[in-house]
Amino acid sequence: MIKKNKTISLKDMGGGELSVALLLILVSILGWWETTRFEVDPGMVKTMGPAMFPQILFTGIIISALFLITQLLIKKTKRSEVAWGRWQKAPLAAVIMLFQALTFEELSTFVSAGITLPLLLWVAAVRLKFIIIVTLIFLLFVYFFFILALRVPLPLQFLPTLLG
Amino acid sequence: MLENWLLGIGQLGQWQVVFAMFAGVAMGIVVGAMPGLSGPTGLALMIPFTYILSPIVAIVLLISIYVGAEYGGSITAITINTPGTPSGAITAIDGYPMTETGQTGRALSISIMSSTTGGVFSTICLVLFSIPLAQFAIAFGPVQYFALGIFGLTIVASLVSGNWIKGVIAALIGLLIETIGAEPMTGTQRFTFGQPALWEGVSFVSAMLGLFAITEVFLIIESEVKTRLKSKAKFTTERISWREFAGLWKTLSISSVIGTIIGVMPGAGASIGSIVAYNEAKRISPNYQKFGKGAPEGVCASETANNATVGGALVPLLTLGVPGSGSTAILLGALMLHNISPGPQLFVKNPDIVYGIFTTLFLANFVMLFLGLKFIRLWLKVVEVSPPILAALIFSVAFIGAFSVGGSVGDVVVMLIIGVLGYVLRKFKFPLIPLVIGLVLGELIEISLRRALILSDGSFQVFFTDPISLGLLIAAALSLIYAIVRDMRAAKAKQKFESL
Repeated sequence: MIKKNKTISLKDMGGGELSVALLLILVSILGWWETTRFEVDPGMVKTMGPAMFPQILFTGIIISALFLITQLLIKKTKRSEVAWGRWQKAPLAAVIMLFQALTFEELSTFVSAGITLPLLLWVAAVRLKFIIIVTLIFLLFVYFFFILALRVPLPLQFLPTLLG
Repeated sequence: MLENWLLGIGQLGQWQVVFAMFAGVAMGIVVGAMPGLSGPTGLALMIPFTYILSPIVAIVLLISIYVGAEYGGSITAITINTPGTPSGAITAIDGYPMTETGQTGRALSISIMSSTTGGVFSTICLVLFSIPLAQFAIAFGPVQYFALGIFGLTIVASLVSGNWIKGVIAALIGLLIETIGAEPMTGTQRFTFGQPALWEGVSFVSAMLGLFAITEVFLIIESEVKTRLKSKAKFTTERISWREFAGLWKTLSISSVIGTIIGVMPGAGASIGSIVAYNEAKRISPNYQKFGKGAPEGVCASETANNATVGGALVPLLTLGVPGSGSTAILLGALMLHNISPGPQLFVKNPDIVYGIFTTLFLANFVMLFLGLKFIRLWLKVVEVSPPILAALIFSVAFIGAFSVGGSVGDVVVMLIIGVLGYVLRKFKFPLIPLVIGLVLGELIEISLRRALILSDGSFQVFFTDPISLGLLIAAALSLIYAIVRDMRAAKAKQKFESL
């Protein structure tokens, strides 16, 4: 319970919900401010312009987030814990994924996936033997299925020259 | 009518369509059976690759995945007590005890035969009810469509979550994501922050891959599941005979009706269908004391109902363009990507597609019966793939899928951002289904709202003077009130339990 703990912990469902609610309110205020900068066609009534719908939604989110906070404050039941598992792995995986997204076009599909797939498998605690096998099979699958069969235009960079 | 049926059947007379049906059902069974994966994940992963297919082949593939996935969940539920889908959990109650007593083959054959019966029954209902409903909805204008969108969204938001506020917040976030990009009426750029990747809005494919594939990858990676899901059960090949199966007619009939009706209701879905049908089967059965200990009726009720929800869920999707579940929301988006807009006009403009879908559903159920009975050992082998390896492969396929749609890394980055958002929301038990439905219905709701307001000179009264709109808005308000009362009762019960 938030009242008893006095500190907000993301391990506690109440603390997590409170953090999410506060974040939603902040984002909604910023979003509302952004809507005031939308261009409005000269012939259009401003209240029915492109900002109207997002403004309704932001208002709805703020009201709902306040409801959520109120619900947290008046609830007397014990809050459940958030099952974080080894949560550090999730941001690490996200960084690896982002690395692939940023290097994909520069390094080519095979080099980029050849780096990130083993890394992801390693983060997921897969044994080295399987990391090598899965990576090789997947890269062959990408080549034969996506590139040759489906003709997906994946970046290949220097590989076509290398393979002749 | 006959002409339309011939058109629909004619659409399926190509080898690519037949191949797509078999491949789709097989893929559906695999994703349904794998714990951690689900029908929506399978559908999301396949959407990008349907671009190169003709619309009918793409539709057949996706619908077949949807049909197969509802059944697939029962395989691991029965054999290893690990349901692949939420509705599979109900099947496991009696399915796994049957495995423990050496009746695996019987349980699996009851499951597939019941799933087929439920699926075929609900397809007949879909054909019977969708045509008159579409004729009724053809007169809908922006006022009714706005109210319909709000009704669909509200009922899903209030039903799918244990906390109505979280459901509403998720739906609003979905609607908000839809507003990113060029505004549909004037083309004004909204929330793009100068990023060209966002000018045309958030790619539907990226959003679905982010929510269903990437979120799942994060959850699998952090969950430390290393062991392979290898079954220790001794499989028996003895199947239930058709005569014995016919003896379950009472359970089959009641569960089919329950599943179909619950499928039509937005937000209810296969798991609720299975629970209600299971309880009803238990209530009417003279062998009710055997339920939970390996009663064939228990497996039959759950499996009939969860596959019966498929046809039911397609009624509002095809006739009104309103999805009621994650899978149907993805199907709606996929149809729109192929320039097919579900709704009453679809029955007028593209009867070949509508009747093609009806025929596909019929046939896909029989393909499922064939594949389910003949290749059961193969499915059990496939689902032995280690979850962490599966997670890495899902990411890699999703990555290629997100990139292949527009050839843009921006779409991949959007997929990752939405994946992180989905992960955080799931951690704090915000339901993702209202978010997906908000995303899919966002444009319809906004355009209908603004058109209706323009026609009424800015007066909101127009939504309360039209009887259909008023009825839908009252129903939406009632569903919210119901959810509030339900949450308050649950909190009181929890408090009472804790004080004991």
